[in-house]
Amino acid sequence: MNFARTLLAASLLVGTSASADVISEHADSVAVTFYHDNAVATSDLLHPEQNAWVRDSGFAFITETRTIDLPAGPATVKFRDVTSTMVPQTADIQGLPAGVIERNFDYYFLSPGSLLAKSIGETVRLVRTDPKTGKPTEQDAVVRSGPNGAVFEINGKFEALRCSGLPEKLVFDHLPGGLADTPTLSVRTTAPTAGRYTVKLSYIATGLNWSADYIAHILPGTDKLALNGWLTLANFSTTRFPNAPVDVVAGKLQTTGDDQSVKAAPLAFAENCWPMNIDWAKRLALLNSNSISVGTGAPMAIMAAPRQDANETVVVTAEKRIEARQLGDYKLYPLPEPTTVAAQQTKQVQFLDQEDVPFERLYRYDVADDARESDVDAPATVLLRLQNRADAGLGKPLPAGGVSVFEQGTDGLSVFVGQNAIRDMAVGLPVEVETGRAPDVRARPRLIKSETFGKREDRKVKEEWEIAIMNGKPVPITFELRHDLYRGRAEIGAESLGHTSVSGRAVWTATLAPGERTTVRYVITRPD
Amino acid sequence: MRRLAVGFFVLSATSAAFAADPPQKLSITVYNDNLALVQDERRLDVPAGRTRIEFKDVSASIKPETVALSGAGLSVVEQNFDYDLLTPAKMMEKAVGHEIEIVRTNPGTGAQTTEKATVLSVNDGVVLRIGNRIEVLRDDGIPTRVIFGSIPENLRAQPTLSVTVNAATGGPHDLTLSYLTNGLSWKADYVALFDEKQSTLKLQGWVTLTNNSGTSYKDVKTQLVAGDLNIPDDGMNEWQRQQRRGSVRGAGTGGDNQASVADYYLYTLPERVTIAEAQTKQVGLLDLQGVEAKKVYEYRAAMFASEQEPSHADVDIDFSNKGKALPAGTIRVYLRDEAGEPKFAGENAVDHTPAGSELSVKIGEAFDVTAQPTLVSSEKISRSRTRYQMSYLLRNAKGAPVTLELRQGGLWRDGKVENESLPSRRIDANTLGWSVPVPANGETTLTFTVDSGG
Repeated sequence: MNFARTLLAASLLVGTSASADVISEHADSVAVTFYHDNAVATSDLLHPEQNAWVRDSGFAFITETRTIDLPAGPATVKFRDVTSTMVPQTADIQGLPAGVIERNFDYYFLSPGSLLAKSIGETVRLVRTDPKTGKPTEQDAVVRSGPNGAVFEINGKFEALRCSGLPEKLVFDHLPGGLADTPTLSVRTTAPTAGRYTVKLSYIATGLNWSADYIAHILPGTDKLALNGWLTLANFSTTRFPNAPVDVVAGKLQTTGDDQSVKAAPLAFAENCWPMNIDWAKRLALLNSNSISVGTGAPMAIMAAPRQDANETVVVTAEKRIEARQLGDYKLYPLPEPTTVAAQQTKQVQFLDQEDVPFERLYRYDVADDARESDVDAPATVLLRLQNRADAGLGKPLPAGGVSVFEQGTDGLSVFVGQNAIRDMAVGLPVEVETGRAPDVRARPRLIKSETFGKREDRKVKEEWEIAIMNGKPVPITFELRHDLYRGRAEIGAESLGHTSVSGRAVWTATLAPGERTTVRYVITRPD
Repeated sequence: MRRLAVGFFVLSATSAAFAADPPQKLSITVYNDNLALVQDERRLDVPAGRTRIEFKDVSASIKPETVALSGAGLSVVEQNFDYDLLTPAKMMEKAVGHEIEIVRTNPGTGAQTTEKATVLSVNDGVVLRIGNRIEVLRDDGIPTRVIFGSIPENLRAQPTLSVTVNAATGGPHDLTLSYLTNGLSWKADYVALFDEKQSTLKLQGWVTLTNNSGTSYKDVKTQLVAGDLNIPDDGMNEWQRQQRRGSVRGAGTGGDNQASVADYYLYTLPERVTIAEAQTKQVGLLDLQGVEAKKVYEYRAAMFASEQEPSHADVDIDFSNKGKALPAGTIRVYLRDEAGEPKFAGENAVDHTPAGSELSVKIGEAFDVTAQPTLVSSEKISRSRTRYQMSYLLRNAKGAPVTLELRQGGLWRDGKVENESLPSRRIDANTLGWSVPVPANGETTLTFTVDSGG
């Protein structure tokens, strides 16, 4: 077991009397649970540079196990190297021998600007290099102003840093106090007895996200499909989670939007020099073009652009399947074995592998309320319908995600036939996946008669509809024709085919032989 | 740790300036939304007559219009808040008309020549008079150092408050400096570990203090005020406030013993703390064990309409905060997984809540419990009344039976139930409620017909 190095040092803290500093450099082990606010498309996860929001729409619950050696009496425990995107107010520490007096998260991070800001009034070394001989000369200088443009004092006289055109730099003998070189959570506690303690530090971290995807392969010559489900885990943070137990929580959690990691803008260092080094030709051109003045110039940020890792690693591990467990009213998918979630990495694992799932293929056409005689036969929507029940070959919770459907073509190669998204689907719910529009199955709606009757408020409209439906395919099909019932206010009168009411719609289902063309006729009575 | 800049004293004809000593007693009262009152007590040796005192360690986000300095035997003549930051460009601007030294380095030999120069103008370039010739600084691109004899008055490395006072007598004076500052905020963060089997909640509360004011405060007596003060432009709109109020179902009159000031609760941190710059600090607020709590599935429909897809029921945790008022903040609910490890299970906002209130915190939606309404028919009874026939299909894919609290809004005056498959109760004039049992791995259909009223 890899014990974290723990150091005991005399406290330099002011304001805490006789308190010892205990430093925990890193965690012994870490567990990661992935969450998201809303389902995201995997294509967006894989291209965070184009979809910056995916970094923020997911998060993780991190549990670190650390070993610390506590002295008896008051101590400040510094948990160094916590996840860079930690949300500090969510931190919780279990296993300390006494309560926590206070905990602090310092995010005054080290940057060229903050180094200078914290050194105001301090003596540093100014090093100038002779351009001819390359020989450096050093002088003690007192920093008089900070990152907005450095002014320093040598022997009672004042100069500005890097305004002379000479190579010069400041050298610091030590890091000024109060600057964190790594994200650190510190905790004040008072242990009754000295000893080695194993503590659990848990917190929410942003910048991690996940998505679910389904791949359905229609088995040739059957009405069954093979359904595979994959989880994609993305870590946009700069923290690596080595050999970590990982799980994923599916379902809709309430979030407040307040859990933001501390975005410590590194303090930029600007060289606000006086205007100088004038290029006359350029100057005249600028004046003529009435352009912005170059003189004082905006502060130049030294902030590094976020690293965009083009080479995302996709690790596929399909050997072991994952069974969904309950976490309250959510679904918890534990990965079968610990894995390493690297910084800026995307990882995929399989969670569903169902063979021979029966499905129904339907062709659907929705008659729009305002449909008038159209001279074009509109293509019907192709739809796969599954029953998510164990006795119907499935019966698994299906987290929201994209479904890609493949079918075997005549040459035996797989053909991608369409893609759609599903919502969180509990066991028992019918699952419908619209894959596209069928050019060979068409419908033409016609309102052939519309008349009003009744008086004033009771006036009603009677509509006679005639929908031609046709099957141009060489196989028989099931056709589903739907008409909205005007929020429950419409009634179906005479009809050529019996309807059923489903979720406030009238549905006519017909089986069409290859090449068959038929007409469904019905009368709707609705308030005007 | 904060470092005090060494003050440089500026003498003017009428007044002597003092860099004030660090505060001896600092106390801060923090309000919820980006506001704090800083009270700074110190003893200062002030000579008789007019003196300018500089405070370099005040908050960098001070609201200068709120500064008040008081002390027996002192009257304030004038106060200034200077935030003209010291930069090389500003130094050069202020040097116009003054003499500087320039040091040129010969790029060929490395030899340095020093000359005195007078700055004539700083305007898209620095124009210098050197002896009896006029040149533009570094017009030839040759490295040239500029050496200034002093830092001009009023240019400072950090914003500085200066107050000119008139003292009747010389000697030590006790001063109190008070001001409002932005950049300090606090809220409460609650950790609620819910045990469904025991129907209990372990509720821990933390005060979270954030300091973005640009200044550190050492050994501060800290007080926190809970309550919605009227602050123009505090960045919170009425909708946000209502969202926050959403969790309180019934306000209590339980009477926490917490100290209060005016109409607000006041929390004092048990010991003096150091609030460092760019720090999030958390201090324990409360720790309640065994709070009775229950989980409730709820589905709310505001009107009579069909839904094409089933909707997941809300999961609420209902509990009462007996004996302890809860300042506004965020409550995070944790559940233990099958291995017994607590896992995050959703969070919600909590408003300032008096002790003994009934809280209902929505933590998320149930994956396995869904409701799908269908408007079977709607029929006009009179000009303003409609008869709605509704059917709700409630499904439960869990291995245990559940009770779903269904709320149907959309009733008007005289609205009534004509028939129903389960008995309803009237929640309020516009809302009907049903407690619908749904069997394990099963479904229940609730049907009812109502006269909407009108």
